[in-house]
Amino acid sequence: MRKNTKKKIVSRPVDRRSVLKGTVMGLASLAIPFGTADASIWESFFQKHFREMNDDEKQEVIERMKTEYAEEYGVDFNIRTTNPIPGVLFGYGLDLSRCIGCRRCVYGCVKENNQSRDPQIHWISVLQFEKGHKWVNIFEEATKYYNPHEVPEEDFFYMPVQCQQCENPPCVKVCPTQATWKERDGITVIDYNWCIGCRYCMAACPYGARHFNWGKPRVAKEELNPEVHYLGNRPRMKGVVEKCTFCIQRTRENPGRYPACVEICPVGARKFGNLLDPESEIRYCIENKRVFRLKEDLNTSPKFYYFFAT
Amino acid sequence: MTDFLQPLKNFVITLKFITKGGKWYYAWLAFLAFFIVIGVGAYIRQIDQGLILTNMRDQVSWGFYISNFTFLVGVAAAAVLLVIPAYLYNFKPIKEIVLLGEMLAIAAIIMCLLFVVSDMGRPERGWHILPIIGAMNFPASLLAWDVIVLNGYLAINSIAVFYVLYRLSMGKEYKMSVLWPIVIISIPWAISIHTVTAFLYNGLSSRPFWNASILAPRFIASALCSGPALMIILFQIVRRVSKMEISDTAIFKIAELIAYAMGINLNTCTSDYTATTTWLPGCGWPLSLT
Repeated sequence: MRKNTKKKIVSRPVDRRSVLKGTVMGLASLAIPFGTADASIWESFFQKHFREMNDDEKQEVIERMKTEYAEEYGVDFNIRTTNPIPGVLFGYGLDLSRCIGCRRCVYGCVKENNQSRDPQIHWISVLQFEKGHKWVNIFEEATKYYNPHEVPEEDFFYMPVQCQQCENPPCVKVCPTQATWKERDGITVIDYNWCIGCRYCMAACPYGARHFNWGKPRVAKEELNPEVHYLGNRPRMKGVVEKCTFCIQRTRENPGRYPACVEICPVGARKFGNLLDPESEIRYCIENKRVFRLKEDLNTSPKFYYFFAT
Repeated sequence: MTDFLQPLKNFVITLKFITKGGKWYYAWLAFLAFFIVIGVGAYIRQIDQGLILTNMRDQVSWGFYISNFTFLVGVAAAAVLLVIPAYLYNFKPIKEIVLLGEMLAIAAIIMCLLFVVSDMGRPERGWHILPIIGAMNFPASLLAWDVIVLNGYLAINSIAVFYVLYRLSMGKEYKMSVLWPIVIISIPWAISIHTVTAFLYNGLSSRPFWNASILAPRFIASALCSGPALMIILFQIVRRVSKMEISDTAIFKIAELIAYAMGINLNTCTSDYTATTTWLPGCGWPLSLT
């Protein structure tokens, strides 16, 4: 480069001392007071990771969120942070021979878990397969947006897919901020206030179980479910990922309740229970039916068991 | 006190220097400013309404932002194709233009980082990815690795370019004793940025087409074609519109290196497609994305 080899002197040398001085002054100018900014905005900005908060800090956050939600939705939320129950590992069973593809579970889930209605987010996708055509591991052989007048249709069977609550979840491994993790009762959860929205987990999930709030989630005030868990169905914000939590706000309570999808299924295709309890229904299914799990070759080890009971 | 203000003065002098130019120079700046203003406007709308504006959806959750990011990592890594002949082999014609290559790398890395930030749903939470004050998932998440290598590469190249330019502006030659360690680190580091970026995709067993062991070598080979190709185009323009001299020897040497890289690129590319298309009918999730 000829321009540089001319050795034209355009500026004077700087000694180390003045560089240091300049740096310090520059940094000092950054420390401008925040002024009259709304305290709650800064509190939520500096909110710690859920797992690093102690009980008092959690309580503070819950109080702040209640105020925020009350302001935004005009509804009083009951936000819980119930911990996993010792000796419980949740497992799910789904009888494909019973499923009629009615999608009641999809909308039951939407209602229970405060998913956005516009744009729509569904944590459960019901896939339609042609009978005897391809095996269910191959999702692209399936139709997700089937829309007949009446289900079930003659030559098809249906397979609902939601978060498989893997024992070895690829989504947790790839999250750059540890915003998603597996709880002791086997449920993979997300701290919606820690997620940066990079969507690496969505690329990593083999089941398409993770969903992103592409726009601002909208739910009508009267349709909101105010009984929520911090890690589950509390209202989300735009730009974060969400997913099925086996209805953590129901199943962790005492007395516990079934997930909304189990409750609403009109044909009893959905089974749920404690994998560590030998007397549970889910253990009976696993021991007596020919169960299989989706994409076992990927070593994700789901706790979601499919079977054909009849 | 005059001493303390000197860096600032130098900065102003330089600023004056870069704002002087002919009418074509100003036209070019205006052209760039036009697109920057459009981009900033679009980004403000995206912050307001969310990534829904991009028309990406759950089925295709990464799009133009991430592919641009990946391409530009390649462009940045390709600076190594100039650094090696210039500093390691002391090849004069390329040594004269190596600084341009390194500057292009800096520009490319900055664009990479901007693309990733644009792709984030909650950019204001970016600090969550930092170690200590955030919760960086290192070493499990390859995205955490990418944050380290990309910022490291930006720092290395900035230091190298800044040092050389600074010495030249003082009217002195740069000292190879200072530059040498930086160059030695920057060569494997350049390879590492694109390797780690390939690992981002490579490490996902859910995406059969990405989950191929040849992906990282393929990324490097294709980067060593596309990056220097972009450089040649830039060099051809630069030597026509400015007084800067770039010799034919340098350009032909770069072209020759691209040809070698292209050979490897085509080989890895066909190997990849042959391997993945053999089991195409049952390929899994990614094909259903269309």
